[in-house]
Amino acid sequence: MRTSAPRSISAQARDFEGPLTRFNLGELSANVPRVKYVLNGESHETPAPLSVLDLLGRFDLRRQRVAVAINAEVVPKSRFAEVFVRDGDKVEVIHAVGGGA
Amino acid sequence: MSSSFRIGDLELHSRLIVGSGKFKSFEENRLALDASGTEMTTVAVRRVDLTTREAGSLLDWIPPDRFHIMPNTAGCTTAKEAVLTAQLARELLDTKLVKLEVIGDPRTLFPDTVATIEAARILVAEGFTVLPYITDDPVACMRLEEVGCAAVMPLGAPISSGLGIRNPANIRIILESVSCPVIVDAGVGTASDAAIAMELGCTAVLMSTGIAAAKDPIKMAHAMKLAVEAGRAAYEAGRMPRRLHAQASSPESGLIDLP
Repeated sequence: MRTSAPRSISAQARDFEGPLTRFNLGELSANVPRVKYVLNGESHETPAPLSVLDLLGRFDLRRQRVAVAINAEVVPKSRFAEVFVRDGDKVEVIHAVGGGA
Repeated sequence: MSSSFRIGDLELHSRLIVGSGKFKSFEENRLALDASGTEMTTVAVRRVDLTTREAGSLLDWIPPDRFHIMPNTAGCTTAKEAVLTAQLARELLDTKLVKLEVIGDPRTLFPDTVATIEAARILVAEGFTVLPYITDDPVACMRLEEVGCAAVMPLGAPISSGLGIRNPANIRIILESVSCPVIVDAGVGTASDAAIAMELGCTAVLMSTGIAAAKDPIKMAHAMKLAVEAGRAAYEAGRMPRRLHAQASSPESGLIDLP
């Protein structure tokens, strides 16, 4: 099972990211730690930390309508807020589409 | 109304299961489901397209509180892919049901029997209610029942071919060979095909293209409902024996004489 990022670090990072984001500098600053990951086959890079819930928010996805696997392991919906995407992770986000017989 | 049947923990009354593929819109899909009287539908799971904003979800039209939703593993070609797809679908839809498909050949879409049995074994052990798509092979169906599948779903003909029940003799042998429900999955093109499957004694019929590709899918959905009900009733009634020669059905005595 994947482990959560230590609470103190993520809380610090949130404090750090908050004011920068307000001035639209968050994504430009070289000082913000970043995470590189592959989402549905495409490479992405985002300021860390990035929980699964944050990831869904970035792409306007409703958590009730998707399921997520990281490195071929399903992330339970109940843990979206506490599981973090790590450098090099392969993330799959799926939804239901028409199909059958 | 014919008798109900069980799939795993579920009791179903309609013997028609309708897929959600190839409909022109979510609305047409929903109207067809309503016209078919089905209680269960299948969906596929695919990567979300992140380049376009979500324009409504299939599940907004086919709500899980109105229909039993059976996700499929369509498109998977290995047991491993099928297992992860089923696990994702279970998390998405909060269901134990899975229509297991492991495709062995992209041209014919015939299943990979060995990989299907392997995936079924894993999924049953993980607590899934597994309904595998399989060829009309009685031995494959027996093996799938042995590993704990809740039903077996032999194809009537290739997926989306609309060729009907190509080998009714094999379907009959399958019905004699397993004690779990037998659901014909794929090949039904029109109402009489569905009726034939039911007259053979199948528990239910699963179709999608037979309805979605009709000129009027909603009317065809209704036709399929009637055909499945008629075929089941005929099976329960027990058909008359076939005879090669005619046998008068009116009395042969008491005929009038002409002067």
